[in-house]
Amino acid sequence: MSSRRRQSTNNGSRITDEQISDLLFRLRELLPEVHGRSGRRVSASKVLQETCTHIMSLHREVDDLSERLLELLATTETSSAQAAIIRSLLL
Amino acid sequence: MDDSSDDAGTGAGTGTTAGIFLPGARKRVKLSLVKQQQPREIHWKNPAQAKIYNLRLINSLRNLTIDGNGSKSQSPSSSSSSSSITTTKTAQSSSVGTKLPPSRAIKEAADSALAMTARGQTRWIRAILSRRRQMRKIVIAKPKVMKKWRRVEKEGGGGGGGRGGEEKKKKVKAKLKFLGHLVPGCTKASMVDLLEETADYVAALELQVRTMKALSDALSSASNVTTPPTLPPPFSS
Repeated sequence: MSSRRRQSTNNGSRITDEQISDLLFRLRELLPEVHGRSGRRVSASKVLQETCTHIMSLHREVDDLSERLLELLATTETSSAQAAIIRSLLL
Repeated sequence: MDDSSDDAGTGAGTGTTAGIFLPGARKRVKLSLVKQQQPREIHWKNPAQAKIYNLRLINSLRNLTIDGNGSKSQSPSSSSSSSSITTTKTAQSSSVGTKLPPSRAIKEAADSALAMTARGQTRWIRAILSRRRQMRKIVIAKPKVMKKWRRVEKEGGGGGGGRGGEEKKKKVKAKLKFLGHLVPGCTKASMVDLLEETADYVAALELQVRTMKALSDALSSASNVTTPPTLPPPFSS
């Protein structure tokens, strides 16, 4: 990555591969593991791709949930809504 | 416009993250990076934070519905202070006078509540909070991202035979760029910053999904249990 090297020389420091692999490993820990962990073979492109798909699925879930919340908030009356809110606070 | 472009990726605007991205202190960064990494994602898994976010989300949603009177439009109210990111439980509804489609309104409220719950000044938080003041342009820019992804996939499929060094780097670069479009406020971030932001953002999104799911489940169960008083009994004489 030539652009990355240019940045690093401007800052007077080097971004080591180890640092990047640590960050990628951290990301990978957050993601849901579909395929089995194959030792330390953490290829950058695969991690990035899984991250992208995971973020997109999370966005879609948020959209679906917000639609559902919209319907629920529209249909429930105020008294029952308050009761539900109090209940959810205790959860 | 954006605060994120000025700071050039420094996540230590208020010094809360102990200068992780200071350019001149990379040696110190390595040690502090290891220490600061753990608490950041644990912050989103903390159940206390989940409760705070839950409260804030509920309050902001309630303000939305009360102000909108069923039309769910966001009425101009007290402006939210984007500079002070504290964990107070006060609800701060948005100050935009434009009408949004209701689904977007809830999503924006959830995102803003999430951003306010966060500790530290990461890029995506600042982008979300600055977004609340300029809603129109950014909302329109979103749908373009999917088309780019398909183009990239086709190229990757075509050139998947020879995995030389250059090919790999191009692929990784393209994926990084796409990731930068996904995370708010990280279109022009360096690789290290982007990965850091992504990890934080993913943890925050998971908290958001969990909270909204719990809330919708609670609301749906409540609406199922309580019988609506408007329905007349079937055997009324």
